[in-house]
Amino acid sequence: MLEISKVSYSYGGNSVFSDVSLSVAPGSFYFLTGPSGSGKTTFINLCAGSLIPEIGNITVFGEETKNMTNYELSKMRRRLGIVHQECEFLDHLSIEENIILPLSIAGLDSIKERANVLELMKWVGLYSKSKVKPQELSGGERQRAALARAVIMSPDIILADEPTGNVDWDMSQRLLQLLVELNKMGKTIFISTHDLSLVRLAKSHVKARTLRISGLQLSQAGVDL
Amino acid sequence: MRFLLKFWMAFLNNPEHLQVVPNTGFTKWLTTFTAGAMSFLAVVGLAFSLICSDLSNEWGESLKNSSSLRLFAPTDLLEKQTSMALAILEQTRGVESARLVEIGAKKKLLEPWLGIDFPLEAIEMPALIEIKETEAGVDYEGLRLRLSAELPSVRLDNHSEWRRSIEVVSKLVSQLGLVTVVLIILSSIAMVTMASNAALSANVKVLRVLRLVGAFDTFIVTAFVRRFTLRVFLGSLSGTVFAGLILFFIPTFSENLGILDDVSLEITDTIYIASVPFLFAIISIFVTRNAVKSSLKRLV
Repeated sequence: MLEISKVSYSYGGNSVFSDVSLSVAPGSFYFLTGPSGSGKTTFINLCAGSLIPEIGNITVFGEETKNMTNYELSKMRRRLGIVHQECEFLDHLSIEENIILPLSIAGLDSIKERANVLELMKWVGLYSKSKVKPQELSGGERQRAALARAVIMSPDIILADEPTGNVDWDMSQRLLQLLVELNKMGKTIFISTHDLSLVRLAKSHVKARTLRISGLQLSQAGVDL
Repeated sequence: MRFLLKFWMAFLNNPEHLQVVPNTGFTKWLTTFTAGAMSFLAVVGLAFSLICSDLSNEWGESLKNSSSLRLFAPTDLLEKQTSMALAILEQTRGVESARLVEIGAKKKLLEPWLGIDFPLEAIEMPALIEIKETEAGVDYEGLRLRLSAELPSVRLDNHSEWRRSIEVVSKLVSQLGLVTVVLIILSSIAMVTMASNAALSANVKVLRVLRLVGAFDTFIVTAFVRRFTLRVFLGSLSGTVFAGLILFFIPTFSENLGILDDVSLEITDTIYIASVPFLFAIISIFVTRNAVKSSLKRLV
């Protein structure tokens, strides 16, 4: 599903990581940990096709991102649900319109899909805020809205970059619960985080693997996390 | 051309293109105002050039194959000598018609300088004969010799010389107008480019979000092109209509002056002017398309 093969990446000659390999199986749950600046966001961006590896290959759904055209990359992103820490939205649209955006631009915005969006908003606890503009939401609500937008196209893989970075512990637990539920539905979850307590909590609910980026290397972290 | 066709189809079919690009912020007014102001200048420049060209043609046509004869004589001899001059002209080869310019017509000619009520009859004025020539033209040297022998006080004016000067000057003015229009269009391209880039800089987040949710580049390009082109078109339309109204009313203001009566636009000129907003829209399509494409290339 997601193959990372001997990937190296650097910014202006400064290596972020080198010779990293990983194979992500369908339905698995991964945490990517590491200190700030270790390359977690870069790793997520590489998997999302926003960055292309300088050395090595990243294969998503059987296609190497390096060989994909912009059109193919966009098509691939429709099968990925991506949540960034910043949770960017189109500020002139309501939360409901933002969540339905991936469907609208894919031409799938039907009445039935609209009904599904409302169900999805209930699931993330934002049903009462459907007509509200993104800037009126709290940090946690924005994260949940971003998660709802990421899953609206029913993606196979969800890549979440520090999804609990800007929220309190209660909201982190709630977001994690949503991600665990998605994983139980068969979705592959890949989360970057520096919050180890979140990892510990997740492991009590789901079989999650933990990877650690440090010193240019990606390694399996210990089970004691 | 294929892109224009695709853009037009998308323009008609996909309302979500307009939805994703915000229609707010200072860049909206910047783009619209820039397009309006530049269109206003383009229309004025274009009209200036077209009117000069039309006037040149009109004056040239009216002076073509024409000449005039001025006859100076004491009042008691004026009528007799005028009849003699008309008789000579009737006998001259190449003269199609010759007619005496009546006092009413003279008054009309001099009205802008002397006013409506000026008693032109009270002053001694030369008789004026308007001569229309055939295509073959008149042998001026022969006619001058005959007139100087029979009517020494007569002066023959060949209008072709004036016509040539008018043509040279009006051609120059017309070309100057065209150069102005070309410069305005080039400046407009630069201004629309800057306005589009400013608008794109203010909307980088929209580009990022659209990429994130899997929008194809063609969708993003079309969405921005559509929004910006609508702004440019509406701004340009306002500028064109405003300039057009001013041009339309110029002859009304000059009605009582007896001058600038010919300062009006022909139907073909109006078509050229009406095409200005469409030209701006086409400029905007290409400029925005390139700007969005390069912004997408820079996007991580």
